[in-house]
Amino acid sequence: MKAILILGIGLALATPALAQDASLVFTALDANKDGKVTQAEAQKNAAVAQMFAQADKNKDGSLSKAEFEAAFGK
Amino acid sequence: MFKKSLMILTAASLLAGASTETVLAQSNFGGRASSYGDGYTDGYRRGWDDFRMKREYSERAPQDRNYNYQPVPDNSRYYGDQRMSGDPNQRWQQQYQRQYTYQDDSYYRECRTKVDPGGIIAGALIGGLLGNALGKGGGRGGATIAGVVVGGALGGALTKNMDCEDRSYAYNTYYDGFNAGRTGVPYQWRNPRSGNYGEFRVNDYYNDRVGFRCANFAQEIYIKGRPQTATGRACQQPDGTWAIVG
Repeated sequence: MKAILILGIGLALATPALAQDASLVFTALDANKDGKVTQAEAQKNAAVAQMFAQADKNKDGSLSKAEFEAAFGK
Repeated sequence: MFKKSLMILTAASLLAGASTETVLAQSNFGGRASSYGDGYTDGYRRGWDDFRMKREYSERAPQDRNYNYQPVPDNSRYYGDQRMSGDPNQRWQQQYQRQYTYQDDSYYRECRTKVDPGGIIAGALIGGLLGNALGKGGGRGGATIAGVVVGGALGGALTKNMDCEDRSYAYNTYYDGFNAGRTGVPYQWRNPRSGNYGEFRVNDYYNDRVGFRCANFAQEIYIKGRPQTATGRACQQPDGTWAIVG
């Protein structure tokens, strides 16, 4: 029980930190601050540009923060 | 008649001796001797000279007793594959104690929320910042381009006296320099706002004793007009990230 509690706290602490890193990159790529990363904006990052199509799940031509974190967050 | 034969014999001996010396000195014994560098052939040649001059090794001047043996940097192959096999993470730990992550990186720690004119965060040039992307083979031109981690005391020496803006520019030179695979090529940066500038280059690449790719680098920067140099060693961690290790 104690171990599960420690594990739970550990995960709770770790997950936001890891998601924050993808979020950090997302914010840096979102040049016009509209909450989306377009294909043009993604060109600043080779990995994101290369995987853009895979990450764009709804195929609307841009990555929402959720799509971005799902693809690039740990 | 006897004198002429003796002369021919002597000449033939000298020629044979000279050619044997040349052949033996150049012999690489199936490619291995050449790996010992010039010291091996140099030592052999000196031994041959001793023999021809009927001189004992101990009669040489002390400075001539040095065979200049220099082991090749990548000598791991002489131990078979034992040192280079097994879990890369374990091998790294044994050799360098720990793996470095983006959280060790001084730019990430101190500058990630500041103005980033070099696009370090946007480009995720810090290794592991977009871990999944690297894991899936992201990179420039279809090739996996590994990020850098400039962390710890060793990394600190590289970015000493640089502010976050300077580092934002300089990181691009580290990233490009390590990944280009070219030696002696200068990668330059300049901060137009402060006038600070610098140059980074990889002097040579080699494989360490457990098989990781490493690079000896040098940097020269000018902060407020004052020159500052740094040299060091970086190796590619199991995840491909370049980390400063020496």
